[in-house]
Amino acid sequence: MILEYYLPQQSQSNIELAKIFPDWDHQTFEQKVGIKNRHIVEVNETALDIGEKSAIKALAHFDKEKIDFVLLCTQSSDYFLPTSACILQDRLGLNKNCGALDYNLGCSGYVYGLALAKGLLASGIAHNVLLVVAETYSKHLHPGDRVNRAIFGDGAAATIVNNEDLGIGEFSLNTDGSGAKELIVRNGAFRTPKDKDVKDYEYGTGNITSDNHLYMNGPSIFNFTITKIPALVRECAKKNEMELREVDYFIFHQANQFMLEYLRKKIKIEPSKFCIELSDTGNTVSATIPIALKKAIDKGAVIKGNKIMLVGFGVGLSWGATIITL
Amino acid sequence: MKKQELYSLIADELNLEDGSLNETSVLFDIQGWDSMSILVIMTIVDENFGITLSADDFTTIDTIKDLEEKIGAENFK
Repeated sequence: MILEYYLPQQSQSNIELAKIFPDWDHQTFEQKVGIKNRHIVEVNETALDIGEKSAIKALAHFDKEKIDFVLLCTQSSDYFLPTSACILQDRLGLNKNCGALDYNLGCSGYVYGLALAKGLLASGIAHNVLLVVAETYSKHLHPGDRVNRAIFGDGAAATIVNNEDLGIGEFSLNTDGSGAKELIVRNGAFRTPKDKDVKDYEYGTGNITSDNHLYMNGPSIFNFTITKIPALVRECAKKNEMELREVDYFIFHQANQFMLEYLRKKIKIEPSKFCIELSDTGNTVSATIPIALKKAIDKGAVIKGNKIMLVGFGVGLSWGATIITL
Repeated sequence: MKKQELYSLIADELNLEDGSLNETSVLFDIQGWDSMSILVIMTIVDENFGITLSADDFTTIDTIKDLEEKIGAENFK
């Protein structure tokens, strides 16, 4: 499998964050949430830039002339238009007879990207898809949003998807748009443009945000996760005609160690088969799954032929799972 | 589960001394209470009572007694 990731050079440790928020108990956070560090893009660096860097790493192992489709997942586009994937085609020097499009999803984005790529391959529309997930939630966060500054990090990953290097099984994909308000950046597009006189407000315990910035209702998202994800995992196994015990490894969206551990116990997955990989990166949204997968491959936690369930869930609300064969 | 067992579970998960919580304890006044503490309570209730609390439930839960009422008296021994 050809998969590479890129993390911005600038990083921020819990100790550095605690200097900004002196009342923050970073040790308890680290113990519960499992995040010690996160990488943050520079002011003039975008999701497209880090996506490009991950793609260059991946294309070092593959003939770029053969790429005939680019899928780019981001919620931090460079422009309203054109689509960032078109700019990426040019920057990477890919063929002009190459399709390219962005899609806007968050934490379910990698699973959805694999589904789109599988469709393109199965229909014969494309033969080698470059799937890039690139996210910079740091740009959406209010400087006073302590909890989300601690949770989210920036990152990107690029995967070459074709019929030779990766087996992609059946999918279970789900949506509930009634939960849109639970994780949202309200202002800045056309429904409600950015408001220069916007008022800050406090939420949770001492976190500041505004309608120009990202808001996440943590308990509501947590409720969604523990309600929907166990059933999603069972349905995905059923669609792939597998028992859960036959799955070699599980990589869930790396949101929060506490939540992941709770889900693992609830679904009854052995710890040795369950990935927890967010200590150095935090929650990188659509990039968590491929970053964790690449680290698992590099560590030898998964090997060729393994069947790995990938489970994404979050903003939308949107959730999905599939089983890949390395 | 007995009510006292619930208090001990919450205290343990929130790194408080056993015996430090009772019915009158106000959740938001618990030492070190933060966004994660709500998630901790949600998991305890889900795991032990099979009840998934919503974010809205916490707008009306102030004390441990309110939490017990949300769980329902019939679920305690």
